Amino acid sequence: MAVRLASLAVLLTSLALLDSSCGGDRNELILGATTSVQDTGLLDEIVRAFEGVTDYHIKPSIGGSGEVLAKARRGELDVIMTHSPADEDKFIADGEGLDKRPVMMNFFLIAGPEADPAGVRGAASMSEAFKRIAGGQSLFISRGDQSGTHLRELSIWGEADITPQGQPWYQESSTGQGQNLVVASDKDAYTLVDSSTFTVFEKRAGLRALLTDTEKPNIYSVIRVASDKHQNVNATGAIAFAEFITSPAGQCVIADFGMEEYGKSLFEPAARCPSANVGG
Amino acid sequence: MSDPLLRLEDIVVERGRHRILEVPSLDIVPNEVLAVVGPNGAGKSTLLRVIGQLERPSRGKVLFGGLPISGNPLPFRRRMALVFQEPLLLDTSVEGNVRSGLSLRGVPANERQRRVEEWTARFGIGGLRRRSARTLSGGEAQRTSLARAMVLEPEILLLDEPFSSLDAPTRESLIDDLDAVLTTKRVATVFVTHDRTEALRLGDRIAVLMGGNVRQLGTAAEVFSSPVDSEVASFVGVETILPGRIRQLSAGLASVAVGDNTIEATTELQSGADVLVCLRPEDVIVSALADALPMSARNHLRTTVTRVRPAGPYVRLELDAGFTLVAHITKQSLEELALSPGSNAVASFKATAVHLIPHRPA
Amino acid sequence: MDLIWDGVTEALRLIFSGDSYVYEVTFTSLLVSGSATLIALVLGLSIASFLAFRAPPGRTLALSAFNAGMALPPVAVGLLVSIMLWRTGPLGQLHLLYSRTAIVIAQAVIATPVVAALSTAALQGLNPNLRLQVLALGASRWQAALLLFREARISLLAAAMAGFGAAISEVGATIMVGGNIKGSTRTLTSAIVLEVGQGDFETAIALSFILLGVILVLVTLFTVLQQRRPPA
Repeated sequence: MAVRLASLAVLLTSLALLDSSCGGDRNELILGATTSVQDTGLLDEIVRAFEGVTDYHIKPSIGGSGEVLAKARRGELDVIMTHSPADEDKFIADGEGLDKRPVMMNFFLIAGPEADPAGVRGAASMSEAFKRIAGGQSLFISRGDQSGTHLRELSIWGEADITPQGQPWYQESSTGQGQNLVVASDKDAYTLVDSSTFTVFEKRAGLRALLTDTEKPNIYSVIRVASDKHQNVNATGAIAFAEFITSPAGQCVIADFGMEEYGKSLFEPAARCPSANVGG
Repeated sequence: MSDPLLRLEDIVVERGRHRILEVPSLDIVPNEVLAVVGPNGAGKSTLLRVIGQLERPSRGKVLFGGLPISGNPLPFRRRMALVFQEPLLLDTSVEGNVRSGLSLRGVPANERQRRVEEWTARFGIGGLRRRSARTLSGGEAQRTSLARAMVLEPEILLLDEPFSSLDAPTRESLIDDLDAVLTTKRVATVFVTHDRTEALRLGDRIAVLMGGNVRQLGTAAEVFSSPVDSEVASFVGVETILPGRIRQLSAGLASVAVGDNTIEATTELQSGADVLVCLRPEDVIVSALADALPMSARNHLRTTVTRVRPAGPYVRLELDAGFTLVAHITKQSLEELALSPGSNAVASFKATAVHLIPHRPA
Repeated sequence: MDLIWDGVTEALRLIFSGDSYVYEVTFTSLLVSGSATLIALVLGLSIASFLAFRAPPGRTLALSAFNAGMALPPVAVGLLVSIMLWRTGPLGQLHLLYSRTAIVIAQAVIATPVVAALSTAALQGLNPNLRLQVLALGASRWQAALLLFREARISLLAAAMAGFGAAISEVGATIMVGGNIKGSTRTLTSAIVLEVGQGDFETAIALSFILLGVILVLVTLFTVLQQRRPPA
């Protein structure tokens, strides 16, 4: 038995060494980010660029905005990048976070079949378009997962004064942004999607971008988790990340992302990238 | 008798509320084969496991060479070897099996090889050494199992019904071989069996185990001729059992010297063989001296009645013929013959009623 | 159907062009799931030996628990391991969350009941007297266990394969505790999820075929080992 325990201990010790990347404790920085940042592949680029100029190692914790904020409230994260303005403001008002700064944005758009049976293309506003979809009883696919996109969709239904839940033409896919778009495409339905995901899936999904909400961009902000409230938080690391991502270097990573593959930026940087010469 | 090699003291084994073994005292003596007989469920295998340090008794102690066994039993287990009813071979070659106990003890390779060759040869499986154990017949497998035990040169050999799952001819030849091995290489042996012939064949002493208790312990003659009670008697089957030696042999008829007497018996054994002469009490015909003797019987012995005891529907007579002879007669015969202790009588029996079992002299 | 065919071609291209990303995630998968399987084997065989040989009271209950454990939802395991490894959790000071070690722990938790339950069945399938015979031959408890493992090796290797299969094909807990970090905690399965999320179905299918190929090669090796005749 003693031999077995000893060999187990050796095994576990060697396993701890298996993470050559986990380095020293203070260099570990836990970044809470939303699924769209990882799913598009932007997160990998940001991590690579940030780790190239600092000694920090980023450990990303990925989830919807709601999940990320909830983990941040527990002190499990050092810095977060989310796109749910109302929740973020409450988070800061509660003293859980500080120093909110915009990082980048994309736009919400209504995607739907080329034929556009509900006539979304001519609508004056997003709520007007939603009213037409409801009026024509055209199939609408919702994320239904409390994500930033879902919350935005619900607020538009509110503006239109429509309660779609329970209607036969309203279905919840409960999947990620990309999957949701594929589901909608499969069913020739309408859905709300962010422009970055739409760009990635444009070729794959047979849907068209019918109406883009330019008035209310979908803004991603960086927020540091309050270190006075949670003693474990890596405050200096969080500052380093917030500084980097809002600096010209960080903004250029965002501006360049997607150029090669799609011919345009997937996200629009909040500030200017000085070297970006190809317009998005 | 020499000092015991192993001694059981106040051993009790309980499973739940059942007491399955209770042995106040039992000695295993060097060079001796102790046959343990008893019906199924008598606790024979449990006794063997307690001796072999494979099961801790609920109470009591086991002394090995005078020292009580406590703490890690492994060193003591390594001085014994056990053979079960099933061969229980490992999934490897015959050689690998015979070698296994030596490997576990870290015996050097060349020594290991020498002993494996010696013992596979002794059990007649030298030619099968490279064969996979899976392909062996029942007899070959049990020979391998016995060789695997004996190669360890144990101080005590424990045998748990090792012949029970073999067919008759295979069993006979294996018993012959084991007997030869035990004769040349004397080793203290505890041999558990439910078969009385096997017990008689190999046992120097016989212990009758019933209901977890040793009911009787003694030589074959003591146990089989004078069972302590009717339960033991009904299990062992009362018999006259006498050590003897075949003096002459002609046409299948042997003259066996038993003490000062000569008994004629049919046999296939060789002249000069040491044997146990077995005679069932119902095969003995008792006559008064003056009576005409039954002519078909080849054996007639002058005897004195030493004991008369009613036993159910018949009467059990013990007759002194220079040795004790047991006979069963009816109550009517007893009255007609007017026999009582001290009377003279002739005991007659056919040569074919005598059963000879080969046996090492004591 | 085109997608699947394209996926196969793409898989072959990725393998033979020496694409470093593919080799990296494959290596991570093998390292992490291999380690998890090793731990599951050590724990699972210890548990199985205890349950099968010692026959402790409550064995049936324990066995039911491990049998049910074979159907343990990976996402629930991921959540539990995450909570344990959170900075504010009981093991937070180890800073293991979002590391390969965290994935190894989660996968080991998933694979251990599989190995334990199947190994217990394998050892219980042996002749009960065989253990006594091996002990009577002079084996220590440790030697006896090894000899009996050898006797039951066909079923035990099947248990090991099942454990490894559960570990390497797992994705929910892997992403939850590992974070899907490129170059560190991205495994074949979490890479597949990411590629699907990015709409790159060809690469996703290609990676799936590579995962299948890796499993096939390893399981074939295991099976050859399993079916080999015992050495003399």
